[in-house]
Amino acid sequence: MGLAGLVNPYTITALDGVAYGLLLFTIAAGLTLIVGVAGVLSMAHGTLYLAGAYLAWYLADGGWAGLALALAGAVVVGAFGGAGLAAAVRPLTDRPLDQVLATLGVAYIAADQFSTVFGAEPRSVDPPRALAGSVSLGDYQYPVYRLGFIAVGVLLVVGLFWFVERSRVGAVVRAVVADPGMAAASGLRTGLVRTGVLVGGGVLAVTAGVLGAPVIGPSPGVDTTILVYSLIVCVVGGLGSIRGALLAALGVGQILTLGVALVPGAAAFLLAAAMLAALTIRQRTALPGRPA
Amino acid sequence: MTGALLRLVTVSRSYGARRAVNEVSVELPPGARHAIIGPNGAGKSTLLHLVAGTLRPTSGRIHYAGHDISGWPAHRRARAGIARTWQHPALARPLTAVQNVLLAVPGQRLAALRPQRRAVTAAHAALAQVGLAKLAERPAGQLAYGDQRRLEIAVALAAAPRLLLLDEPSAGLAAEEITRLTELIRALPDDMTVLLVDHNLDFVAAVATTVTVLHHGQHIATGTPAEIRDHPDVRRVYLGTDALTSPAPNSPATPAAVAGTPVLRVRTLSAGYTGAPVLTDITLDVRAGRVAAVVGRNGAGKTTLINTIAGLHPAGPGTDILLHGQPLTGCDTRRRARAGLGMVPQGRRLFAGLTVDEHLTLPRPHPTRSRSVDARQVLDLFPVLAERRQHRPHQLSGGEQQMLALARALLAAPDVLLLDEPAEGLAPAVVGQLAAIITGLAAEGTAILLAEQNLALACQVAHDIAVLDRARIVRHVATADIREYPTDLHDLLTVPTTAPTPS
Repeated sequence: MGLAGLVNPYTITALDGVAYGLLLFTIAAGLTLIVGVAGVLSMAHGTLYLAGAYLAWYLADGGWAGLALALAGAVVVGAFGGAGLAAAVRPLTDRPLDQVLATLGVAYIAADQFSTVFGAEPRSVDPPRALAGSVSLGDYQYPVYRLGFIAVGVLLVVGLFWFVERSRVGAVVRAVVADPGMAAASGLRTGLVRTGVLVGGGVLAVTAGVLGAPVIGPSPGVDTTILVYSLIVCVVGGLGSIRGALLAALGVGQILTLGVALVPGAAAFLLAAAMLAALTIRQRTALPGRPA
Repeated sequence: MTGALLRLVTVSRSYGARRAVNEVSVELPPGARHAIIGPNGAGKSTLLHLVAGTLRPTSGRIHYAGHDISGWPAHRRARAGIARTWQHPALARPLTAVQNVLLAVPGQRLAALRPQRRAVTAAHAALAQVGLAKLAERPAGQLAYGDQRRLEIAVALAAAPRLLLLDEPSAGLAAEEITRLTELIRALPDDMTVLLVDHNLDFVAAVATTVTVLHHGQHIATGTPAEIRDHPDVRRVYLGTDALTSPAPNSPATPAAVAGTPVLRVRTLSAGYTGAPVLTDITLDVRAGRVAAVVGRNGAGKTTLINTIAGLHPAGPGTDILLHGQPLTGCDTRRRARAGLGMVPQGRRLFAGLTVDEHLTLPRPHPTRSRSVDARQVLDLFPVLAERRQHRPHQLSGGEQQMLALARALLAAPDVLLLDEPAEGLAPAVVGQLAAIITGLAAEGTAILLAEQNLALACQVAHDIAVLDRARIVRHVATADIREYPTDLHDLLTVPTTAPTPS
């Protein structure tokens, strides 16, 4: 058997799930920090992904230059988008429901503008020609771009983990998640950290949109789908936890691909059932020191 | 079965690894007037929640009127005759007082269009019982705080309970309101059993016939108020150690900074929670190189004072807080920290998940400040931390956690250090180390404000002591003078020797 035995329709689907999971992690990692640090449940997070996907479609020229330009654009769009959201919710500090409504309004307006500018039909984005082909894994053909995406996703995961768990800035962010009042009393700029996390989360989401466009292409409604999946990842993984977000994102990725392939009949309920199970188990093993 | 109405058998409740209530057994005969007292975090409110059913015990049994109710949900217990009030009034604020009470009158049909006359009569009777008959048509949200508390009791009474649970009923009430509350509880029918939790020990002595003392979830003693008052373990719980019987070993002598100028001035400070005043007209000075202590019973407002100065709790109108003569009142918490206020809060408030090293990289003294320290100097002060640099707060002992909280505050090179109950939960040897560190910091010129319940520690390190009682500072004394009238201070801090409230 050996290596060839490992390559069957299910492992190929599972590989798809890994790519999907890493994409979701890149989006949801920003959102989970935004909720944990700034307390803003941003309903416009899926919109940022869609903006990135349209950006990739608009600038795609089949070569590396287009991708590089789109990535540079993603940083600018994400930073402005995040800063704009931070400015929009600033007057609504300590009013979480009003913040949800405000960001939801931004999401609706943006969705409408996207349809007007880019049209209502789905767009497909081709990866750079160098990555366009497929490679044979045993008896199967697998798109090169997806393998490349997995590699870049793993790099992003490692980078984010290093940043959040090892760097001083990451320690500041985690301190603000743990106890914002005490962080301020230690002289930390909690306001700046909040804005910074919104900007960083925005850049991550738009970048995910550019890189993910050949996998989940831009079309109306993608923003909502992405938002719902990232909210699930945030809630299941625990708000503000990067580790939890990674596990939840990989889990959701597998359920949406491998799970659906294994039990096609229950596809509609699978994600909800898995989420319910995950939340029930987590509730029973509540974190020490946190009253129920 | 015994004749007890309520019987707790080795009941425990854990939050994660922490045992808020640890194998407590209590028995209440019908008609008992029973109070539970104890320092903050003793598990008093948790115990009340366990009886009311809003929390389930981790282990142990609760028997009520001959039934094991451990597994019953809260509403089933309420229907069986257990009524309760909450620590902060839980009323339907837009509804009028009488409508609030009507919600609790039993035996009403859900589908009825208008309340039955019998129910309305019962509701008005309950309001009259607490003296709110005249305010029956006023929306609950518009009632004064004291009236809201009485309305809550009326809601509980309207259910005609056999067991009445009161969670801190006297909190936030003025002296004459407490007197009325005392009368109200004394006038309750003899067959109604009352279990209450409160910080106000005069009030407890006036209404309760039996008292149970909890400390860190453990049962310390049960007895009449007089027995409790003289119980040596209870005195220890409230005073830390047998304070003052042995004078402070190394009384502070810091000649260098005797006439230190006031660095921090607090003038007419006030603060409150949900409308209830907790602090009024607080005025104090903290001088460079001196330790000022604020002592007082639980619930006297010590933590609120520290948090208000640090900017973590909103100050009331008219409050002036000056650091080096500059007003701080309009500044947020971070600006105050940057201006030179360091804080070691109650319960330490370390950042969960951050290592010791990470804690020590966070604060940096502001570049405009004259003094500066680096992590190495601070670690020299706390050698235990140097061996624990990769540990996270939950892996540290209580003493190590306290040292880390202190180190975190010191790294910002504060001019004024606010310490809130640093000795809480520490072994005597560690308290001794802590006292040496505090004295050393003051000797180097830091102004220190210490809020403490442990009178022994306060007397050992402080130059001046302010006594906080019922929202005010009732006395300023120099530590040197304390030995002249030790019993006075003792009585202000421990169980009262005179039952009726003086003011």
